Amino acid sequence: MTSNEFREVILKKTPKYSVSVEYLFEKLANKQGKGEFSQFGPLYELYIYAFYLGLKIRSRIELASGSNAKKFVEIAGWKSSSPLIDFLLLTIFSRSDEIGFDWNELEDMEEKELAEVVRKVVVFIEEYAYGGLDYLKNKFDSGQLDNSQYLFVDLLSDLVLNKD
Amino acid sequence: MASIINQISFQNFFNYFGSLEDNTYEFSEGVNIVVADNGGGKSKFFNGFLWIFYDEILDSDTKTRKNIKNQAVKVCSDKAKNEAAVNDLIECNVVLEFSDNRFRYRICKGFRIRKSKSDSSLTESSDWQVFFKDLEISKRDLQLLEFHEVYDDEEHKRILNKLIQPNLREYSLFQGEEVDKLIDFNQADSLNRAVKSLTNINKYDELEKITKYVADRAEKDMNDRVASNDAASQNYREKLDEKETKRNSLESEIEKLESYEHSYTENKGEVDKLEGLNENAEARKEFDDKIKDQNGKLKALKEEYDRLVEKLNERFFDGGFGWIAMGCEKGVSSFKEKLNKYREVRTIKKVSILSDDSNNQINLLPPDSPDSVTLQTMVEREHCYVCNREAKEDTEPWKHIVSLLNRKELGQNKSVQMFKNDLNDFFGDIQLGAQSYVGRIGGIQQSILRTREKEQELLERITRIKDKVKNLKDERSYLIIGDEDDMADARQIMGQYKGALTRLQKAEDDIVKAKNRIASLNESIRKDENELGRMRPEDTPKEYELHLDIASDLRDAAQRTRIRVFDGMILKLEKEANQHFQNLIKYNELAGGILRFKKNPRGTIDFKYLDEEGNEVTGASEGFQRMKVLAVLMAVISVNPYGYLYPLLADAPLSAFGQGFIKGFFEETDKVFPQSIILIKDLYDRDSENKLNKLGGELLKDASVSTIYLNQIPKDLKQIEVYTEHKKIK
Amino acid sequence: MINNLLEEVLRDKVLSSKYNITEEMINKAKLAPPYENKVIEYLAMIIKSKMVDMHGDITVYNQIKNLIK
Repeated sequence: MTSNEFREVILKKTPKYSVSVEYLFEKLANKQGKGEFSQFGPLYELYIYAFYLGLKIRSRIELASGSNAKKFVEIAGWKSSSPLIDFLLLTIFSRSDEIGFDWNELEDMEEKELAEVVRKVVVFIEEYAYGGLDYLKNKFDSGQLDNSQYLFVDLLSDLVLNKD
Repeated sequence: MASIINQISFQNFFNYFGSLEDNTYEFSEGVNIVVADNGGGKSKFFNGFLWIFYDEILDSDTKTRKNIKNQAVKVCSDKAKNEAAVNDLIECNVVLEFSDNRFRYRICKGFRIRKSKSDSSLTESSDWQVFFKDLEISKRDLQLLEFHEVYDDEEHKRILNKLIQPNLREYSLFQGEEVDKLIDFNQADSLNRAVKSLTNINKYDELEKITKYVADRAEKDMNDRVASNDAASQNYREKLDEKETKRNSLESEIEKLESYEHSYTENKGEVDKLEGLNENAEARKEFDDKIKDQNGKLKALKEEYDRLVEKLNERFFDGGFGWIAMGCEKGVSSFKEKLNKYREVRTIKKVSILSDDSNNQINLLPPDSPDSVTLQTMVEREHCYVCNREAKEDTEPWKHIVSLLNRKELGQNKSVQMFKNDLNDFFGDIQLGAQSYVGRIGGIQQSILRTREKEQELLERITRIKDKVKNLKDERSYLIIGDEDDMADARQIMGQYKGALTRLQKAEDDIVKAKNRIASLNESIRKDENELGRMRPEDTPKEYELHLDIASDLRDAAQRTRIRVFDGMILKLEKEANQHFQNLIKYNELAGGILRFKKNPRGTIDFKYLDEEGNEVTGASEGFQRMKVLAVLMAVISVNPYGYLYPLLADAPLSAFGQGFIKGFFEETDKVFPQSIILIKDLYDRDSENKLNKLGGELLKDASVSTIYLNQIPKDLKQIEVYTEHKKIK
Repeated sequence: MINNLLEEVLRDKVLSSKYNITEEMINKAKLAPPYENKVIEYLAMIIKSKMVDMHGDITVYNQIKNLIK
C-alpha cells in the first residue's frame, strides 16, 4: 500500500456518535444561523472540538454498538483543504502507543492488519469524541454553559490552563 | 364670596413622603408664600393643583403635561416605594380644602399602588399594581363641624368651578415659564376667550340676533300689509324685490366674510408657528446631517463587530489561527519524536535489507552523491566535478560515473520493494500539512487575547458613537417646537411658510373687501328702506310703520352696542394692564414702556409694547417681558366688574426677575387677588440663619404677607430616601 | 348681568337721542314695568322674553307685536 492509499483508507472512514448526544448538534452546531448559544458551523467542527476536549479531560467512552450509534460524513469531507485533517492525523499518530501500533511495523503489515489498525484509529476518535460530547452534555443539561460567544474558547482554554 | 383655600395636604406624593398630617400646609387670605430651593418640592407642590383641576401632572423629564393615570408609579414617593414590602399597598393622595362664605369644601384625589415583587423598580409601572380612587368631595356648613360627602356629579363640577372658574383657570393657576404662553404676544386669539367671558359678549351677540329677527319680521308684516293693499304700486313691489335681492347678497357676503376670517386665523397661526420653526430649520438640518453621518459609522462598526463575533468559532479551524491546537504542544513534540525514531529505524532496516541482498548490484548511494542531471552532465562533458578531474570516455573514472547514473535510476525503482507499505511520505505530508497549526500553537493565547481586545475596542467605539448620536439628538431636540419633527426639510418649511403668508395676506385683503361690500350693501338697503318708507300708500296703519321703526332702530343699536362694549373692554384692559405694569416694575430702576391693545382685521386682540414715542420696543429683558405678561394677566383679573373671586396659584413665575421685580409682584398680587399662593425659590438663602435672603426677610415683616412656609430636604440623602420637611415661619 | 344689557343698549347715542332717553330714564330702567318710554318697553320685553324666559324667536315676536296697537 502506498502513502496515498493508506491516507485514503483512513479518510474514507465515517466515525459514529451516540444518538444520546444528537441534540447537542442541534443546539451547538447549526449550519444555518444563530442559536441561543455560541455555534459551530458545520457539524464535524463540533465533533472535532469534542474530540480534543475528550483528550484534554482524558475521557474516552465506549460507544454502544448497534442502532444507537449514528454515522457522520466521511473524514475526507471534513474541511479537506485546511490543516485540520493533517493536524488530526498528527494527534492520532502521536498517540500510536495508546491506540496500539508501531509506526515502523505498519510498513510490514498485510492489508488485513492495516485495516485493523485503521479500525482502532476510528474507535480512538469516536471514543474520545464521545468523552468530549458527554462532558458537554452534562454541562448543557445542568445549565452550566453560558451563552457568550466565547463559550467554546473559554471551555477549552480553561482546561489547557488548569492542566498546568 | 371669594373662594379661599384653607389648606392642602399630600400623602406620599412625589417627595412629600408620609401621611396627610405630615404634609399639610395651611393658608389664609392675602399673600401666602412657600419658599423652597431647587428640588425642594416646588413644582411637585404645584402638580398637586394640576391633579385636582386637570387630572394631570407636569412630567419633569419632558416638560409636558401628562395624564395622571399613566404616571401613578412615578408620582408615588420614592421613599415610600423603597420602604414598601412586597404586596404592601401605598396610599397616595392630595387633599385640598377651601371655603366660601357659607361652606367649607374638601376635595380629595388619590390612588393606591401595590408592590408586585421585592425588587420592583421605582419607575417601571409593570412592577406595580395601580388602583385609582374616585374623586371624593365633601362639604360642611361653616357653622357646623361635620363634613358630609357630596355624591352628585353635577355638584362636584359646581364645587370645582367654585374654586376657580374654568374660563379663568389658566389665569389663576400657572407654572413658571408657562405664563408666557398664556398671553402670547404673537398669537392673535390668545386673550379673546377671557375678554369674551369677562364681557358676556355672547349675550350681546344673542341680543343682536333677536333684534334682527324682530326687525325682519316687522318688515315682513309691513310688506305683507302693503302688498295686500291694491293701491300698492308696481314701483313699490319692484323696489321691494330690489331690496330683497340686496338682502340676499348681504347674507352671502356675511357668510364669505366668516370664511375669510376663519382663513385669516388659521393662516396667522400657521405663519407664527412656521416663523418660529424656520429659524431653527437650518440648525436642525445641520444636526440631521451629523446624526446621519454618525449613524453610518455606527452601522459599519456594528457589522464589523457582528462579523468578528460570529466568526469566532471559525478560528478554531482556520489555518490563520488554528485555535483547536491549543494545549497540544506535547502531542506535537511527541509526533516529531516518533517521526524521527521512525525514520531512524527505517534507515537501519533499509541498510540491513540491502546488505542481505548480495546478488544485488545495487548499493546504497552515499548521501552526498550527485544527482542524475549532474551525473549526466559529467558523462557528456567527460569531467568529474566531484574530484575535479578529467574523465574521458571509456576511462575508469568515466565508467564509474556511468554506473553511478544507472545505479541511481535502478536504485529508485528498487527502493519501492524495500517495504510493503512505504509510509514515509504519509507521515511527511502530515507534518507538512499541519504546519500552519503547529507553527502557531505558541501564540494561541495571545491570539485569543488580541481577539478579545479587538472586540472590546469595537464595543467601546460603538458606545462612543452611540453617545455622540444621543447628544446630537438631545441638542437637536431643543430646537424643536412641539411635535413639529415631521417637517424634515428646511426648504419644505420655507415653502409652507411662504404659502401660509400668501394666504394670510389674501385673507386680510378679502376681509377688507368683504367688509366694504357689506357696508355698502347695508347703506344701499337703508336707502331702499327710506325710499320704501316714502313710497308707502297713505292708508297704511301707522302702527306698522312705528313697529318697524322701533324694531330696526333697536337692531342697529344692539349691533353698535356690541362693538362698543367689546372695544370698551379692550380699552379698560389696556388701562388696567398699564397700571399693573407700572406697579410691577416700580422698584426697578429702568422705566418700562406702554402696553397697547388693538383690534385686528379678524376682530381679535393684538398686543404691542411701545415706548413713549409709540415705537415698538423689542429686545426688552426677560424680566420686563415676564412682567408684561403678568400685567395683562392681572388686568384680565382686575377688570372683572364684580371683583375677582378666585385664588392665584403660581409656581415660580419669577425666576428671571431681580429682587426689585419680586417686591413689586407681591404688592400688586395682593391688590388683585383675594388670596395668592406663590411657590418661589428666589427668597431662599442656604447660608442665612432663617434661610431667607434680604427680600425674604422684608416680606417676613410685611403685613400683606400672611403666611410663609419653608420647604427643606434633609441633607445628604440618597434619592430613594428623599422627603420634604416644611416649617411655617409666619 | 342682564340688566346691564338693557342699560348698555339704551346708552347708544343714536338711539337715546332719537327717542329722547335721558340718563335718569336709563338708571331707572328695569326688565319690568313701569316703563318710561315705548322703546324701553320694547327692548326690555325682547330681553326678558328671549334671555330670561328663554322663549323661542317666534314667541318673542308675537309678544312684541302686541305692544304696538
